[in-house]
Amino acid sequence: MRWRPRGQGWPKDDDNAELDRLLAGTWEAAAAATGGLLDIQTGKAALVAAAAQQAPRPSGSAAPSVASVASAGGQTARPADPRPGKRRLTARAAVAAGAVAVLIAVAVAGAAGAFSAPNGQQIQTDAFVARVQHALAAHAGGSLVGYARTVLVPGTVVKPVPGSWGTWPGGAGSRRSGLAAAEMIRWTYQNESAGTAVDAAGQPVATEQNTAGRHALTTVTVDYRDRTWWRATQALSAGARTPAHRSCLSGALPTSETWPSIIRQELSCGAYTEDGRQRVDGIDAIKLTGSSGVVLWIDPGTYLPVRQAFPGVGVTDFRWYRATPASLAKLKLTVPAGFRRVAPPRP
Amino acid sequence: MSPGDGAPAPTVGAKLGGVGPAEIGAFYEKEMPRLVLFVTVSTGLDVHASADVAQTAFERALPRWAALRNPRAWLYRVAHNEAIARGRALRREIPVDVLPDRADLGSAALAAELQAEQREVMNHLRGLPPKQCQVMSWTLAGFSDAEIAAALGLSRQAVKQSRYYARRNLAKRLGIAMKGSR
Repeated sequence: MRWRPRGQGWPKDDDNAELDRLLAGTWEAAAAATGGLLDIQTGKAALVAAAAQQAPRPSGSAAPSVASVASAGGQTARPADPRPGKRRLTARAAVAAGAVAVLIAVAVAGAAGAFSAPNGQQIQTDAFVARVQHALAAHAGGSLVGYARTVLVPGTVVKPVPGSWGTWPGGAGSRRSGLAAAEMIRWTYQNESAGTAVDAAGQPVATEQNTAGRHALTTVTVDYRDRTWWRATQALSAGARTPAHRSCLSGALPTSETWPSIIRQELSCGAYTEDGRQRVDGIDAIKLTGSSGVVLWIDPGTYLPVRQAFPGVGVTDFRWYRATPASLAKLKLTVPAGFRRVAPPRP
Repeated sequence: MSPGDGAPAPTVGAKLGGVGPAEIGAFYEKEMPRLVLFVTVSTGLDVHASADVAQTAFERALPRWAALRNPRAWLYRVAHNEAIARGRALRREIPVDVLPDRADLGSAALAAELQAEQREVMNHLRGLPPKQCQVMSWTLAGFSDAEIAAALGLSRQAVKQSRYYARRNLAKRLGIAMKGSR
């Protein structure tokens, strides 16, 4: 490596070939190892797809280069108008949306009918959804791994059931039996999700993994407290696979629906109202409020959820990651040796 | 590329008047792992977050790619600023609860790929004081003093000074005798 200064500036760099060799070799090796952790092809496809989408395409001409689009602005120009109208969702957008939908639906499971007609200003649905579609299209070409951490209201009791988690307020007056949990950690990717209930001491009490197939949803749950596990398979009806056709989040677990579709449905039936902006997780997020008090904050840059608050249940923080072997490993569940298989509970 | 000679780094954008998606894709394939590594080391973000930051930088660069005189430098600068902003935003958060520390599997996997000596180098690199770590990251990524100074808001002398001390610290921690002097 050559970074010796040519001038007389102070201090001069040293001349240490051994250190140079070590640093250069390590950097190259680390770069190669980092490449092995990344889904480069997916990210590249996403970028190329975004490049192709950003280029205006006059009729009868081939797709122009990115340069022809970018050169119109210049280095200091503002980026292209992020709202060029409705765009077709790409596979990655749909997948990302599905992941969001799963997260949202899991979070609202048990809150069926929580939304009602809005009292405030309703968002201009079409324009909003167009922006959502565009924002998600920016992620075109690959899937996002969703991470959601829900800090539960103290005393909350959870119970894994096939396809979802039951969540109830605990306490002496509760008639529900279940596991006392302080928080829930969920990972989602495409048609898979894995959720772990964690107790106040930070120890996992149960993990539930769901895999949605074409016609069935398979759930595997490990109960660390009882040292048991169970597997359940449910047939997925057409309605369950396309929950957007239902009105106002009925509490079903969506497995393959798109986020814009969910938002479109919720807005069209008046489930959410826009409630200004709030800074969440360093983001000037759009705040959407359901009349029952459910609040959803959305990143205006990506239109992915940043935070969600359910009165009486807890607050969920979302993170979105590129798919890597490390992040995908979060979705895998291995039944520990010696655990006893039991019959699954009734859904 | 000679980080110290002030010459701009060779880039796809620099040599092509019109850059097509395929060329950007090739550039991405080559540069993405290096950018992720750079963000990881220079800002301390985990691999997942760094990958997210890097992808964001690429997406931001896209609409203005051909107009950039040095897309690579622009990319690294945007990624660096984005990572710093995310770090600050996270520090502003008021935690509602304390999560137990969990191993960063991405970083662990990264470490597993490296030889023992290289792991040691990476650990010492990350353990440098922040400014020294940043300057070394930019230097190892192949940028000139002028580019590093502009990116970090430092004078060129300050860049040289930080790098000098960083290299001295690294050599000391790695048990390598320094031959040069000021």
